[in-house]
Amino acid sequence: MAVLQDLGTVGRQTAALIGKEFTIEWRQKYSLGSILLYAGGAVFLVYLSFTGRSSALHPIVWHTIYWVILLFSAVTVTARSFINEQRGLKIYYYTLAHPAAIILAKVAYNALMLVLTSTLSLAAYALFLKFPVQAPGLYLLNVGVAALGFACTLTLVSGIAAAAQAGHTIMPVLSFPLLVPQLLIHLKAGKSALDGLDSGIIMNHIWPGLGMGLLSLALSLLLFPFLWKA
Amino acid sequence: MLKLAWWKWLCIILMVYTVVAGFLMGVPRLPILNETIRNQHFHVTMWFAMILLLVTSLVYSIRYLAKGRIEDDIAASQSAYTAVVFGVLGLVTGSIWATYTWGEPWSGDPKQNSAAIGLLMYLAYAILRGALPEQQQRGRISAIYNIFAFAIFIPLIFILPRLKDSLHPGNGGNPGFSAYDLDARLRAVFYPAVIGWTLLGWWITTLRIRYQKLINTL
Repeated sequence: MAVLQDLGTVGRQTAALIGKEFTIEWRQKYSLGSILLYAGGAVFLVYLSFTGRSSALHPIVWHTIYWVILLFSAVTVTARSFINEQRGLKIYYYTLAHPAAIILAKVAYNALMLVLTSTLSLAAYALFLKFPVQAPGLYLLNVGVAALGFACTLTLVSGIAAAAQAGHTIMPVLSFPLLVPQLLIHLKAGKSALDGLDSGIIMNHIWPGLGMGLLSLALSLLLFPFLWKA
Repeated sequence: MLKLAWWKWLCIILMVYTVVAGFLMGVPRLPILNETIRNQHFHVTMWFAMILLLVTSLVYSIRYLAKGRIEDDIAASQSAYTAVVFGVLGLVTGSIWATYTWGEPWSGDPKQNSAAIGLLMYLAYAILRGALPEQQQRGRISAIYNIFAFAIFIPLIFILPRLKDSLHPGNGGNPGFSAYDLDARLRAVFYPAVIGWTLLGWWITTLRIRYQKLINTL
């Protein structure tokens, strides 16, 4: 029974913390705006690079460049979750909430932000550079699952980077190698969706991607309490 | 006589045996591979040693998180660094081999790329340690990263290459054993070589640990 009560507490605290993240985000609208501008700017840059030579934009190039933009945006979005938090607030939360609640809330918030960022940047991408995907539904599903998976991995890495002095500098260094397995899986799935392959084949790639994301989530839950104590 | 521990003597004997037998003993004639299968004694065995060193590093990291003794942190970091050296050597020997069998040193084979990414992970570990000046914090944060990185490293190098087509011998199912049609002659060099390289790696690591401890006390 105590375990159930604990779970209930964690659940309530998580919900409360997610609400807090959104409130802070809404008050500091410039953060979300800057991310969208970042992604939008990147998309526009790609568009300008390919204008006039749109024949050079093969679907595979289109696909690859989108994922590069997504990767960099993901790292930027999640970097803010721990690195920008003030010391005093950190200690305050430490005394109040269960560490599992804190990390779950951050992961959930980052996941939502990444899904939002990825779909909005994909929409901008499609607006400027067309949408040469033959299985759009599965492509979108792939992007969504990738956003969730990235959030799981990157949130803990953000926590690790926040402990180091130059957090923002070290965040890309730490996160890119760790993201590569998920990225490769999702790139493959996306390429299959691009070519309009059978949905069974595409799902065969999306499931491992989801699996890796869940693995990262489980590890984050296990390891975060140690990080929180530091 | 030199006062060396038994396992260091064993290491020396095994390494000399590996090098001599690796080059002089007969090998089965397999298509495409021919004599280059000898690379297996060096490249593959070094990779095994690297994995074992990384597991050692992981174990020490977990122990550090559990108990907080600085010796565990030193052991974890030094075995990871030795593993990185072995990894680089593995990539180099693999590239040399590939130049003659696949035609080019780096052909974008999934296993090659995965190995390089894995190396980047542990180099990032070294950078992270450099960015954390305070000893206890460094130990704790890098231990957390080590565990996380290892958990992602294993799927990266074992599972991912199998999902894709690869030229790597052994990528049709197993991590390289059956595909070589390991006969008794190859096995006779392979297993001792793995033990030899691992012992060598551990020897180097213990030296580095002692060096690190001396620096800490000064």
